Amino acid sequence: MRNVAVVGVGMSKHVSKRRDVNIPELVYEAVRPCFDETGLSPKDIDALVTGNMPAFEGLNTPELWGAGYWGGLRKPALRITTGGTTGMSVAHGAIYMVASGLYDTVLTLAFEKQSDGDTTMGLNSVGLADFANVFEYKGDMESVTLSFGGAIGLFVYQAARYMAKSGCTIDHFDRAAAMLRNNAAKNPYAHLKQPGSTAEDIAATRMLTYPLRYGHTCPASDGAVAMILTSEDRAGKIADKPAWIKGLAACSEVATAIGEYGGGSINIDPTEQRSCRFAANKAYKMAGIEDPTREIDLAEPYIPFAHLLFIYFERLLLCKEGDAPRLFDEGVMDIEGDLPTCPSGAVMSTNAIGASAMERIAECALQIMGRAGEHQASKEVHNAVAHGLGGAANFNTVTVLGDKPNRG
Amino acid sequence: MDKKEHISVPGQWPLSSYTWKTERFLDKYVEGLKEKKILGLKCPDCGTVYSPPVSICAKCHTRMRLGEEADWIRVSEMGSVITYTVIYTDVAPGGLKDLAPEERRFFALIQLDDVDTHFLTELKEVSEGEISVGMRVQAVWVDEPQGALSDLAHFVPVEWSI
Repeated sequence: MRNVAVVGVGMSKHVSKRRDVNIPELVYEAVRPCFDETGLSPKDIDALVTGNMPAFEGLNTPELWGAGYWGGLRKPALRITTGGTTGMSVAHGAIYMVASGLYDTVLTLAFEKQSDGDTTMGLNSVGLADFANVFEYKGDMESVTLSFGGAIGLFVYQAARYMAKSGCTIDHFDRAAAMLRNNAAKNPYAHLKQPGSTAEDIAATRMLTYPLRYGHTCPASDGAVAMILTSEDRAGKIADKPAWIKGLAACSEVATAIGEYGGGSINIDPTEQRSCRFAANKAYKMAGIEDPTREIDLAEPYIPFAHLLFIYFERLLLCKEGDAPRLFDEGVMDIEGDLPTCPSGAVMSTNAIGASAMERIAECALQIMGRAGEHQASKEVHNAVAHGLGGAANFNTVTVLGDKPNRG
Repeated sequence: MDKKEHISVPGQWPLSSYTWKTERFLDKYVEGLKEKKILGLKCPDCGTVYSPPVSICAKCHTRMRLGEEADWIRVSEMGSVITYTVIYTDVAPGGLKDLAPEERRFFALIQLDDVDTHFLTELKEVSEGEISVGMRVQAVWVDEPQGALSDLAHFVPVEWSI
């Protein structure tokens, strides 16, 4: 397997409504900086991998725009769509292309323009087939809609279970949210910026569904991200300090809250996230990382809701199970901490769904390149872990990046 | 003439124009509910017990024997709360409205004893101070079961002083 380098990273501005551009123009804003900073042009690109959640905008076959708007004229193109993990799955597709030797330099991009669409309708199209039996056998649809209205429905169950298992409190979620809002304020690409946000500010927001408050949730964003990946023999000529892909894995479990087609689910504990641990173990092994608690310098887990900061810090094996709240209290996850976590402000601050998981890789790459600007971690970042979450909290993707390519 | 700054084109992608089909693998389960019995289906290969049943065992990828009497077992009406939530807000015209404390409702993921799966149900006769992960709960039936999932009306905390 060949080493793969990230040599270019571009992101659009993220806001709640971009009325001034259409979808392909929004993506262009992320693609163009990749060419500008690397000095490459579309003729240097061997293939294009793209992705979003077409059901969210109601516009299918977005790869139609690839040739004209995104620099993919007369190139092989591939689209990948996997829900919340879309952006990372797209990046994985591009990494496979370069690692396998099929192509040398690949442009990969992911996006969502949620303001054009109807995300609730899109989510319905994800869940409705599974509720078919609930309709047919006259289940109590009110319970289902009341308690699963929107993506938050599943996560409240996870948060309550995590509180019971770890002993942490809603106060932890308030403080985690405040940290992420402050980090986002330092990130030029972030959407929801609240400099000076405090745990008290978050605690003052209304309780939506116990135990999650409005201040624990993510916004809906319009935005795009793009990266140029290339092989080791080309990377040095393009970038002074590329970020290297060292390991990657994805893993799917059965749904955690309602079984497929109304049947029972064997994945009874939504906080377990075995698929995350499995993927993390595999990715660390590929990266030659034996002890992630010591060897990982920075983490960008996929955190659309505040409690997930603790769950995924643990499931990415960055500490012992149940230790995350204590480590958070000690400042370990701060930008200046020993293991800065989501210095970007996380998905909780910026969520253009299809783009979100690729942005976790992009943020790790910027940190390794030393180009994150105001939200650059205080410590030197040699190895970082990026994570994506999707489905009914049952599908996890992990990518390990580093400042040196794998050897041996 | 005023020129609008942006163009907006409404789309049309109604979900009602789609139709999803599925096998009737819950028939026997709801027949059981009509007799106020909760049935589980045991995987013939690995022994995992599903309730409600599924058609393929996720653990070992074996096709479940929906027509095999010996694979169906009656399971306990008691179980434990895996996790829960309290509904604080409801959708109302113009956005969300806060529910008064007495209007709040409780939902839980329940694992029945003898069963390897869980399912979503409403919890009643419980308060915010009492509800907890691991709480023991029991089924409450509707008065006249119809052979529907809603026959299993809701769950309540187990009364220990029988």
